[in-house]
Amino acid sequence: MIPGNDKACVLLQEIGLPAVRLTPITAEVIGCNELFSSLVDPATSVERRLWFVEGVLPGINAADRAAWQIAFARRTPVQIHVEFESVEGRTLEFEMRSTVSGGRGEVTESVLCVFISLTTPVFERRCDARLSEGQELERTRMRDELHRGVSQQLLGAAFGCKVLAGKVAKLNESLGKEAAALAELVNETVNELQSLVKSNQT
Amino acid sequence: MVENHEDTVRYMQLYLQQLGYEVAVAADMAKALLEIPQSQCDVLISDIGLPDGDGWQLMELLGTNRPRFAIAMSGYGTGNDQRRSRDVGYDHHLVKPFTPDALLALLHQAEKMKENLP
Repeated sequence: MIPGNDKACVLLQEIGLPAVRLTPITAEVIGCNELFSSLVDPATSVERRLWFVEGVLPGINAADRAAWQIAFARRTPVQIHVEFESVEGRTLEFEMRSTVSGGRGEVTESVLCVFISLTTPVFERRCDARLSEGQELERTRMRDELHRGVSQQLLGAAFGCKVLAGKVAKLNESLGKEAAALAELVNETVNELQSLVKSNQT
Repeated sequence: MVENHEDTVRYMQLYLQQLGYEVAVAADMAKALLEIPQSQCDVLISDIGLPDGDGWQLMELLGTNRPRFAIAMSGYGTGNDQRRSRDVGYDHHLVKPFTPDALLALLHQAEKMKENLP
């Protein structure tokens, strides 16, 4: 995804906050705003997807980096100190807040990192409220995607498996049992996804 | 059954037919409004999000032509959604995705209700 296409990042850009969205596990950049891209020295990494790994992580001290990596692996929010170097060679200090969009195991799960400049603390109070707005926007997006996509397809699959299990059982008892087990597995997945849908709507 | 998602319609219809139910399908509200009054169906299963309206409007427009038992299906299951479904006359509001067994349990309720009618 190119900078400017991610709704949450665009919103954060409007209030002056650099932001980047990452894939879980590999921390590849899948979306960001222009403020973020202006912080990263393009010389550090040619590939946009590696902007975070090669352009941000090196600016984090060892202790903070370890804390971030643990939080990243556990999908928990974290706040750490990050430094960038300006074009003029000045050190730019930021607090980086990371949060996970979506629940554990979701296909659309991603990690959103927002950078708050420590040189303008008055701005921080404003951004807290706007960050909540960004999270709400994200929840809405997830809910809509769940409804339009995964939920609907899984519903069809659950009924399809039942139909198949019924037909196969008439032809072959052993295969019928396997098909029934598959249908049950899909049922369990349906129940898990439904819990997720409900928790996303409360 | 009023639903416009092709795969859902296909497999739900096959499943219900496999169990011995007779199923008529409408992909939108306009078709449902035309066909339900003539079909004398026992149960209405309708998606809330329809291409030309919604399942709540459908129930209101059906008026006295509505089947005795109605089940709403929706990806949205907040308190407001469920309340609105009840208010317009649905007996149940199923949140998608749901298991075939959940739908079957409701159809059994509908059968019992029909048996108990005078």
